[in-house]
Amino acid sequence: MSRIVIKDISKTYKSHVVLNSISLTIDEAGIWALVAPNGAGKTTLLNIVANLLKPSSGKVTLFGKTNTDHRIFKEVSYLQDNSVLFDYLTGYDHLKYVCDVQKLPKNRIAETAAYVGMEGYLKKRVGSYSLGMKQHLLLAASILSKPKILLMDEPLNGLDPSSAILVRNILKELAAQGTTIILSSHNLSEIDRVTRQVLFLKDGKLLEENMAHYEMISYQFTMLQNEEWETRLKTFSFPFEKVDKGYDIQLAHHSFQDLLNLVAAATISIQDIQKVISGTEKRYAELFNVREPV
Amino acid sequence: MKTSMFEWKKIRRLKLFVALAAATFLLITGMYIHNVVQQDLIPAKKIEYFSKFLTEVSQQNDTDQQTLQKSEDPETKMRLEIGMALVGALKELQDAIENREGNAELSFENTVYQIATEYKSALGTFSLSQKEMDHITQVNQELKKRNLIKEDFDLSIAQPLFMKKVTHLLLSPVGFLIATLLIGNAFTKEWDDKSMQFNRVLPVSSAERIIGRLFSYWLASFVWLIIIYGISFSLPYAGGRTEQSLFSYPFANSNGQFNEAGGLLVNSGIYSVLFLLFSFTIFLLVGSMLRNAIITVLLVSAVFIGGWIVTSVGVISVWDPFTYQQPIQVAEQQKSLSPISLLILSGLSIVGTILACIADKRRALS
Repeated sequence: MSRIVIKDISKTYKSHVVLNSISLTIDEAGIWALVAPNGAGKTTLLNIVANLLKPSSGKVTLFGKTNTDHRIFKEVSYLQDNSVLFDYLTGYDHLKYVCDVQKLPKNRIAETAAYVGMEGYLKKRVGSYSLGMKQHLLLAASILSKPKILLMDEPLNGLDPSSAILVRNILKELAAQGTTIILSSHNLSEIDRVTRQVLFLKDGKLLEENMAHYEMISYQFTMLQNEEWETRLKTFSFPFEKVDKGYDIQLAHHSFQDLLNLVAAATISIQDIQKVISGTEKRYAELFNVREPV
Repeated sequence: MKTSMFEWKKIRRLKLFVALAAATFLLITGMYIHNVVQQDLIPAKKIEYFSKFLTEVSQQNDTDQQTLQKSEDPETKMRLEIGMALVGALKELQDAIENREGNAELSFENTVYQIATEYKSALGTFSLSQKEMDHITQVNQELKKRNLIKEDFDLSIAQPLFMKKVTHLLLSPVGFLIATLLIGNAFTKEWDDKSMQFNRVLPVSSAERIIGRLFSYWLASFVWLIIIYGISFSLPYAGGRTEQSLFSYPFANSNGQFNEAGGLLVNSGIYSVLFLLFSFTIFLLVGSMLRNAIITVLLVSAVFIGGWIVTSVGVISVWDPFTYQQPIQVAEQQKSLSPISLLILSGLSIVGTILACIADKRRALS
């Protein structure tokens, strides 16, 4: 049975078509990223899938059941914008309620709070939370029931780097345990770190693409900038970009060994090398006509 | 049940309910302190009241005496004799009031009205109508039967009378509307700050959501009623006016029937509990349909005020649920608890709840 079936979903606001006969079927666990510029309809689509919004036409089924059946939320979670939280309640109150209606054992609250790293402020009022703390609470509430489908609207918003790493690891772990995740995000590099499956939303249409086809590998060299090194890179046709801490070097038509050979022949001191895989940004730029830096 | 507990938690944490409870406590305490301070003024107020009649009759007597000095007139002579007797009875009544002789006061007051009836038939001036005098005489006889003294309805610190005064003030259209809007704020607020969506992506049905809310709001209003009844009962108890017999204090209605204070308080309490249920049902129905805090508050206020105006202009019917916005008045008009009233309020609440569940089924966002 298909996990998510979106069939001919359209959404029109007055004369503005936001979603135009979108269809999508997802049969397995994994992570799908929903990418589009602001106002293109990412949240609208997620809201329709979660039955918060009525489509102008079309239908959504989750595990074979129509999404208008409230019982689907035993297996489906939706991490929404943090405005859905009750400012005057504590984080614990939110998790306790989810725990109660999902009929989960009480110890899941402490477990999940520890998992997302929010034990320290669990019993404080949400009104006193920072943006990142609210995101942690939303994440905890959405994974408390170990859902089979997890819809996430900008889960990385307001997170510091360590929280972003934590969320990334949680997503990978959930996907490995059998959860189907659809997440919308503007953070394309984070998307590249968690999935190859990207759903681009363009002109109301959904384009499902595998980023493996657009994958671009580069290496971040942390080092002092050096004219001789730049000359060598140019000589051997390695596309590169100067960044704050050193250079971003793309492999283009070379192998990693070619790059290592170039390093070995040069008299340079390198503090760190990091591999960066980027495909989504490139594809995004192509699809949405974004001028790439030279 | 889980939804109810969550809603109850929200009501408590929002503090508006706490503010309502605190304001209720302060208002009742303030009223009680005011009445305690005013106790010494009650006899003076009563004496002043009867002084008006005394002056009125004395003036008529003076005029009659002057008339009789000029010419003999049997009718005037008879009126003067009755008038002199009435002045004497009024003075005795004032003495009894001043000396706080409660039982004697009742007897003297009845004597006054008895003589005043004769006086009026002799064309004397006495500014109470025959109907009013008959009514007061009847009440005084009931009080004597129960071995009770006459209380001042506005300033009494006797338990049931103070409780009746408090419930009359708070269990009123304004009181019910304020309680409904403050307790129901936990609901309307959700549409404005979007927190409604938190609940809508959980395995909770519309019926569970609406009934859970209704139950918790009703529970909160029940607590409010307990505060009203509890404090207005406790303060006079602490002040010493606790005679059990006071709960049989008679109140006459427009049909000339008597209801005892205790029964009135119980019946108006039952009507209040049911009216609050109806009131929250209306609130949830309108809120679920409109999904906008300000418009919901305005519309519910308009409906309640409209209902109150209709009953205030005299269109009072047991079939009109808004009649029960004034439960003590309804209880006064009925000899006992009316099954039709209970049926109307609970039946409309059930229908309203079903409609609210249907309205809630609509998706969260438009």
